[in-house]
Amino acid sequence: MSTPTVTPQREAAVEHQSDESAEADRPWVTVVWNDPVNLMSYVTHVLMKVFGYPKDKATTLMLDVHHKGRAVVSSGPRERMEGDTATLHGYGLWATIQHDS
Amino acid sequence: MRVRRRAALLRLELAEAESSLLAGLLEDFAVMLADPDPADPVIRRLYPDGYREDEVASAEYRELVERDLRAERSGRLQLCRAELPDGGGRFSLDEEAADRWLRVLNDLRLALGTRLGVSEEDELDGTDPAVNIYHWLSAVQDLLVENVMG
Repeated sequence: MSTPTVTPQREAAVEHQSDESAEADRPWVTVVWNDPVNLMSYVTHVLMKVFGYPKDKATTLMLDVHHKGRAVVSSGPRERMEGDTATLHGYGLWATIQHDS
Repeated sequence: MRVRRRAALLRLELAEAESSLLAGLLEDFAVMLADPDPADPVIRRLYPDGYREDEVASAEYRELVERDLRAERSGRLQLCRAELPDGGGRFSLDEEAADRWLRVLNDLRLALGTRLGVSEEDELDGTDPAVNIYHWLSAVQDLLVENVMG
């Protein structure tokens, strides 16, 4: 499953901050969890629709959800993850926000 | 139910029995959504926690989003109910309407699936009419999403 990369510019910026704000800067992710009701086709469609992912990427993420139980579908600031999660909840997906591990 | 793709629209054709079944399901669901019990497993599935293992963050998330999610869900339900041809027949869906129907069908399946205790492993009881309705809704949603995705 792909995880967000830290650019060299961002690495340099983080190094100059205190431990406290570096902690706050730890990226957040939206995780979609497997559930027995949602159709594989529907989950793929939702990932394409909500995130604009091409079909093969959406399918790969959906298969990760299906086979591994969960998948990270987006990453970024906490507020944006809450927005993504709310959108996914509006589509009936089971999604949660957490720190990137 | 039959689906045909024409230009940018989908055209759906529902038999009378299908239309009447859907109308009943939509109406029952609307009644439940109008007065949701937060302890009801269906409501908990429709409005999940935003955070695992963080009650404070989840409460804040819920305070932020649930009201809007509820209003939007009810709004979609109403639009679909209004669009359904009473007695069966044809109706057209543009992309937005198709997306709305997919969501509403999914909500119906989540509600019914939660009530039936659908799991990955166990087979459902094929003699139960509710189970047959659940399978029918799954087929309808699958047919619709395949046509939408292309």
